[in-house]
Amino acid sequence: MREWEKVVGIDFVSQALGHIEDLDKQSLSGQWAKLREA
Amino acid sequence: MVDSMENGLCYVNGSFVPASEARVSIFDRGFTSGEGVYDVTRSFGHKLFKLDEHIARLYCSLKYTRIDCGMPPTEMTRLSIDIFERNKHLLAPDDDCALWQVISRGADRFAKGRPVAATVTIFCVPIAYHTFAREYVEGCIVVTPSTRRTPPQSLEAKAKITNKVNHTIAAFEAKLVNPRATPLMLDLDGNISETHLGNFFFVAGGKLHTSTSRTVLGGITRSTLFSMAGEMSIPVVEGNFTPYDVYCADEAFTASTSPSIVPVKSLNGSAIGKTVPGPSR
Repeated sequence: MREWEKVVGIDFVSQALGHIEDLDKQSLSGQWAKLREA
Repeated sequence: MVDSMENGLCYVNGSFVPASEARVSIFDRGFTSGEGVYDVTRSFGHKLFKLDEHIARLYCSLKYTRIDCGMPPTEMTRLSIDIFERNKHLLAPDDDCALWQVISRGADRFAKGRPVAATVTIFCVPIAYHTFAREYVEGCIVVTPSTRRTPPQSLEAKAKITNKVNHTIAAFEAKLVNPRATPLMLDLDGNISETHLGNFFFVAGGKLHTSTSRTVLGGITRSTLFSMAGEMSIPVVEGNFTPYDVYCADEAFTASTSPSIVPVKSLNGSAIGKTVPGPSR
């Protein structure tokens, strides 16, 4: 998925997570941030 | 989207009109018989990704279905870019859209004979992020429905045809098992073909595996992944694989235009590889 980010030029996952409903957005974006750090 | 794409401009048979005012005949073969083809190009960061490849695939679909859209690929490309540019102001800075070309055989003339001109439309639609965003983090739940992918002896899977009933029935079946499930369709021999929205990949033994091109759409994301794998010296194996091969895989993911790459959590209730997907997977 990181390689795909390089190909398309944007963080497509964060973009998608930024467009969902607020409650889910916070929870899922937090999980995604942890996954990226792992 | 800052504003609705319903207020944007689309192309219909030679005219640029607001999408909300676009009209196609009820006698159109695309409506009455599902006789049409389409393609979809996504933007990333307000830039169209692989438009030329999508247009090339569109013209292969047209040739297969024997629909003459009345213009060369260069003109279709020019019009497509024009429509995208005319709608780009509707995009928020952090948003993107999908650019569609939909072409049908045209409106029936009944007593006067077959349609004489194809119906050609080009338009932009918002990306339905809510339908797949969660799956990037939690993984996609995949099930194999009983409905099999239409064999190429009946209808070529490589062609992107507007009639999606085969895929839709498969999706309905999968969602009866789990409302969030994605269907992974098998071919008539029980080999993995594709999901209702795109191609399917799995990794095993350090190699990237996917179905042969025989029963699947020639995905642009799929072909891009092949190129990326080549650059990363990851072997790609195209073959006939069954669910068993996926159960034993290290990881799996779906590949399609709008979501791009989505990790798979499970197939038929069996966890695939690591429990939690991650950015490096």
